[in-house]
Amino acid sequence: MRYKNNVLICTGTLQPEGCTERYKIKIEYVVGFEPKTTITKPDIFPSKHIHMYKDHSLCLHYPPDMRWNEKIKIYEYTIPWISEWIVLYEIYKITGKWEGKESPVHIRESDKNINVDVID
Amino acid sequence: MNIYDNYLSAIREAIDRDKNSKNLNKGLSGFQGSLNETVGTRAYFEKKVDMTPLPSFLNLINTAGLKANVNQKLGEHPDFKRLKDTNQTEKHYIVSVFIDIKGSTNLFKEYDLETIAVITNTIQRAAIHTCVAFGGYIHRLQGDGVFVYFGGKGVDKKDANLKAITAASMFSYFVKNDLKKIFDQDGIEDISTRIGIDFGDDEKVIWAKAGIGECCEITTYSLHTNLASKMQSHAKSNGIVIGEFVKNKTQLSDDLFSLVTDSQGNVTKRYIFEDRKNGFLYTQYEFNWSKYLRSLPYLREEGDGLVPVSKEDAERERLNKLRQTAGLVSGGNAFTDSLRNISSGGTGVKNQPHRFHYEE
Repeated sequence: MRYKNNVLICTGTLQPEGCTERYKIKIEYVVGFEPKTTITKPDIFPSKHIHMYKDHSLCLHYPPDMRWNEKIKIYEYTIPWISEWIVLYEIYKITGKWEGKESPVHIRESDKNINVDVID
Repeated sequence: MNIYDNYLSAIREAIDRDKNSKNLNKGLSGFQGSLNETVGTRAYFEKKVDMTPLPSFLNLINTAGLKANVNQKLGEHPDFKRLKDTNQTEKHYIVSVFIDIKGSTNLFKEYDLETIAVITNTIQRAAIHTCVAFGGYIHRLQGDGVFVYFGGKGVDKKDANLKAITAASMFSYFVKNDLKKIFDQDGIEDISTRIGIDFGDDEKVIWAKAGIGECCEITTYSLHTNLASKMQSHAKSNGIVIGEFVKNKTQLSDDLFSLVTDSQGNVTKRYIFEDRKNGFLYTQYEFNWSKYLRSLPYLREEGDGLVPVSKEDAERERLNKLRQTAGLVSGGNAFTDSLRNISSGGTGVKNQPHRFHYEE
């Protein structure tokens, strides 16, 4: 864990039950803004079908459903959502289908609620 | 079929012969010698058994796609046996595994010597074949126990460590469950195994000839081989104790490891080796082999023991399990525990509703 330019950066691994690999995760957080969550290992080919951007970050929620604020806890929201993402990605690898709930529409870049400090 | 079925049958047959022989001897007053010896034991030892595991175990090898090292000789790791004819040494990593069988003395209370010979030999065969199936090299037989190396040239270190703990876990299951069922029927208790495993990396292990002239063998000089033996003596009944380096190499989930405790549950010996002068404190861990076995895709526990599962079946089961988890999430009944596993158990934090998104 380290703190740089107002960004708290944490790394760790997750391997929910039934998953064949350990996933290395990086979370970058600026208070009040939605954390940026990136899968750094294994090397996954990004695509909208798995809700992963080109920089291997995940889009874990649909902003209109909930606006992120400083009271929302990462361990209650982000971490369980990453576990869910991994489970659903493992299903996707077998079936080719995302079996989790998805937003009804795609939104514009400007609608993203991630602090500019953590956008590459 | 239980993967150890053939081994269990051999033991059951020996015990049945023992009982029949005793009953017959009772009826034949003045009969000299044991019918058990005449009829069964000789046949058992005359039957050729090589390093190839027995058919019930071969099922597992085939379904799991394992590569058994059946072409080997005791104490001759093929990658280092050339050192036997030289005065050279070589540094190379190895995983050392000490398997000990405890309580076999109890067998003498119930069975003939012939029966005991068959039983202990079969248990040792099961240990050897289990290790061979997972790529182990049998280095030495010590009483009822076995000392095995895992790894070698071109073998991935993580893989060698994983295979060592897998073989050890399966053998522990065999002793704790399969053998127990047989011996419980005759009131024999406390037959158990204790296993110690440690990993010494390339710079920490020297392979060299030990002994003189014809009385020699190729062996490893390493703190970690010594520690594997020492950790075996720290293991509980049917327990496996592993070194810190094994834990690190396998990269398995932390919940499979716990500090070694005494019978009161206290951690009295965290470090199996302490070199405070050089700041080297080496931790030993109890390994939860039962939980580990349940995570292996090619094995399943059924009523009569461990049975092999084909790759297709394993993948189907895994998909079902993953879908159950996904179902909990979409149904709003999911909790994520401290190990980040999702369940309906009500422990940990409740998963919050959300929808995955992507923007073009």
